[in-house]
Amino acid sequence: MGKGKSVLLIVIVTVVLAGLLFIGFTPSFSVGVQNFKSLLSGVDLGTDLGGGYYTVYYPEGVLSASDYAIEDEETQSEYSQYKGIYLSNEIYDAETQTVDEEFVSEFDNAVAAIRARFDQMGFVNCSVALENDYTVRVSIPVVNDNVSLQDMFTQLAYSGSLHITDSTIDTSNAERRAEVWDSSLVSGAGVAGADTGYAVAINFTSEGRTRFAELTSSMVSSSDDSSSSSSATLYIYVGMNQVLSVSVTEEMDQDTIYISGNFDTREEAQAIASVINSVLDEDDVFDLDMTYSYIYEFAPTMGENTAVWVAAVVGVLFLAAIVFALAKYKGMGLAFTYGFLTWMLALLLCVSLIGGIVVDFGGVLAIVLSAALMTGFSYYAYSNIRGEFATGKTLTASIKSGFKKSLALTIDAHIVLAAASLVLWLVSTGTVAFMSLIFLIGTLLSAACTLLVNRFYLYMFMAQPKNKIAFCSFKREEAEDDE
Amino acid sequence: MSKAFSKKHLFLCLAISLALLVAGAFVFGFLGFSEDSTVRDETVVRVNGFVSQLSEEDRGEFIDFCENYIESEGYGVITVRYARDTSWTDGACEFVIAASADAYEQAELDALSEGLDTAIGTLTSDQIPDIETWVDLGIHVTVVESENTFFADYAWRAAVAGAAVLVIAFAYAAIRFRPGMGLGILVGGVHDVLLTLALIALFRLPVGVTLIAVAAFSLLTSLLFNFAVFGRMRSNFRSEDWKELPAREAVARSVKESRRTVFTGAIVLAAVAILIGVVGVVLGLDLAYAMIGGLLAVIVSAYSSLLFVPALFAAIKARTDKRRAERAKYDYVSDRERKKREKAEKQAVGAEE
Repeated sequence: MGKGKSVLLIVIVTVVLAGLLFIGFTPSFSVGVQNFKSLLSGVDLGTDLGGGYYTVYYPEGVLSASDYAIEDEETQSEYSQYKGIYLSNEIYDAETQTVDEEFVSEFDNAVAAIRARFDQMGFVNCSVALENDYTVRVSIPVVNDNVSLQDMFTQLAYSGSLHITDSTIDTSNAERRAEVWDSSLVSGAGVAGADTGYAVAINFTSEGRTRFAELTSSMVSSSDDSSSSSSATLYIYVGMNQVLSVSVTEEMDQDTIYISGNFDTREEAQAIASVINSVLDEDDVFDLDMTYSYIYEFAPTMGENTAVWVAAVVGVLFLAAIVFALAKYKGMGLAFTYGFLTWMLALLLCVSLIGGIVVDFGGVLAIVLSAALMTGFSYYAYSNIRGEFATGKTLTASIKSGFKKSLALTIDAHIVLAAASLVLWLVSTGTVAFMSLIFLIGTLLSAACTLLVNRFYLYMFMAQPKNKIAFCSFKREEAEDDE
Repeated sequence: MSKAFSKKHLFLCLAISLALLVAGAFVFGFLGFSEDSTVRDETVVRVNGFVSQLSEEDRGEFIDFCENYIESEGYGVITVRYARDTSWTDGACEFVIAASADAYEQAELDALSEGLDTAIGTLTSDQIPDIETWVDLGIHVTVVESENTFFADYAWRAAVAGAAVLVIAFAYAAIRFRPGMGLGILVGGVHDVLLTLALIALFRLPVGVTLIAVAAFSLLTSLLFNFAVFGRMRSNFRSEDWKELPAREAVARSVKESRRTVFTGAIVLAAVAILIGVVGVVLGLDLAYAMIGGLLAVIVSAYSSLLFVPALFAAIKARTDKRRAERAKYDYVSDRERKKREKAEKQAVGAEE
């Protein structure tokens, strides 16, 4: 590489890295009416590092102490205290201190369904706990600003069965009359990308597909008969709650239908899909209304400002790795510094910009481990280069053979660790899934940086000094004197 | 000849690991893992309502008042939390008074709740500005017994994924390196994860879902360190000089060469764990405990990749080399036999002529 080309590349790379460092790590500030937010502040955190939201669901017939306090005396007389809550006398006999078995069974079903729904949401560190035996407390991490928490918490507690119908359901009788769509007709629901935002995908069984085609066909023909409009509306209900509606203009005979409501975020579409999935098995359906009063915002479970401190510690150690490399490998350390910064910024870009990645305690471990991987294999390559030079090879030959010598192990370790994290990501849920995803990205970036980027930077810098050997701080092995 | 990876050494490693695993399993079987604040059952005194309308300073005083009252009644307050409703209407101060859901009789808790409610009613605006107004509008005291659920689904899925990872790592190392090395990586991975979990159970480290993250971290660290050691062995064993070395000697020398790499990695990871752990001591103990778990994973993986797994592989290599040598010996005998026969045949042909 010529000196001029090298200078140009050094300037370009330095400017790009400096710009990315600014975008990545500068604390947020305001410019006029605009707020500048760094990439680091855009990283989604788990409940342990970033806090989250919780709410308490009260089933029908159960009141909180504060709700009980504001009721009139007549209503209060219909309730009896049970631990810190108040149960309706219809479900709780205060004298014998027994709770109605039917209520208990329904409540257990409700808890199981709610747990399954929140699990399917894929929240990291989500927890579902019982409070005073008959209320349910659900904690989730901080979610996308565009998600309506109220809607999400309400939808995920919907009771009743799944109905796909051509008319609205507005009384309980109508609900009973509407056909129930269970696992014999619907095999599952999921989320798919749409032109704008996200869509809910509903998969039918073969029987369900036929039934759905019949339904849409009859809707189209009846709409043609009425002729006031060329389309009819199909409604999807869970119990008495309308979760989706779609305009039908022709018979729909297909295995999967995609309904794109106004879902700007994946979470909104996933909430509907989770609710549909949880009511397909008749045994999992519950008929108990679950309501909540407030959604609380809570601090990180590992302590206030933990994320900032953890980031600071990790930053100091990254700096230590760079300083060590500069001190030990001189010129090669400079190439490592640029390579490491490239790796770090690329990882930050991925973690903050890829939707749905959440960093929690496991994510921190993954970042640290992939940093160790990147650092370790870079040092390994530099040691090999130094070793090759010491044996008497020329500088260029040493660099080539040093990198070549470390190639096999570097590739092997990265392949195995990438495969391992891919499997962990695909199979696991929650904290391990996010941890493995971050480690997978970190490992792939480490492979790219160790095998290509570092080498490129080394050649870029090597073109500059007159004394390249001194630049890399290389020494030859002292030849033994022949006696 | 090196004595580092003798049979005695392997048995010693196995005995240590087995003893720790059995002790850990015993503790886990009887007591389970110690749970951190995110997953443990709790008895909580919750004071909620218009607490949200107090300024931060006044709320601090209000929380101190409640905490002092609870403690004056003979209950220890383990943790104090505050959460605010997203619409700013309601605020909830929570005082954790026991790390279990059935620590006290209901009558005792009712008395505590009523007592605190009455005490809050006696607060005047001289003590906390405007408190009387907010109490009139509604500040309620309840005692909540919270029962958390075990994260069984997460744990099982992670365990299945971990098993799949080990099979893949074994297959890769067995094909790319040697079958014995693949076996070493497989056994090492299982050993490291189980030993880390056993130590967490033995030391009664409070853990929550972080336990699964620590186990996954342990597995990945184990793979990294073991591949570093076996990678060095593979490149060494290719050279003719090394082929002549006895198995245990060759393994010992290779381990010595890769010791620096493993130590560097282990020290970096341990330094992170210790520093973040220290931050955890100041900010929240859950972080410190989780980091101790991470530190244990690093120590176990380093020990395993430098002592246990090489000792196991040395035993396998010694046996394989011996078998190979014997096979070569048999070939040699048969070769001699063949030559004898050829000689005899020639003699027979010569005699006939």
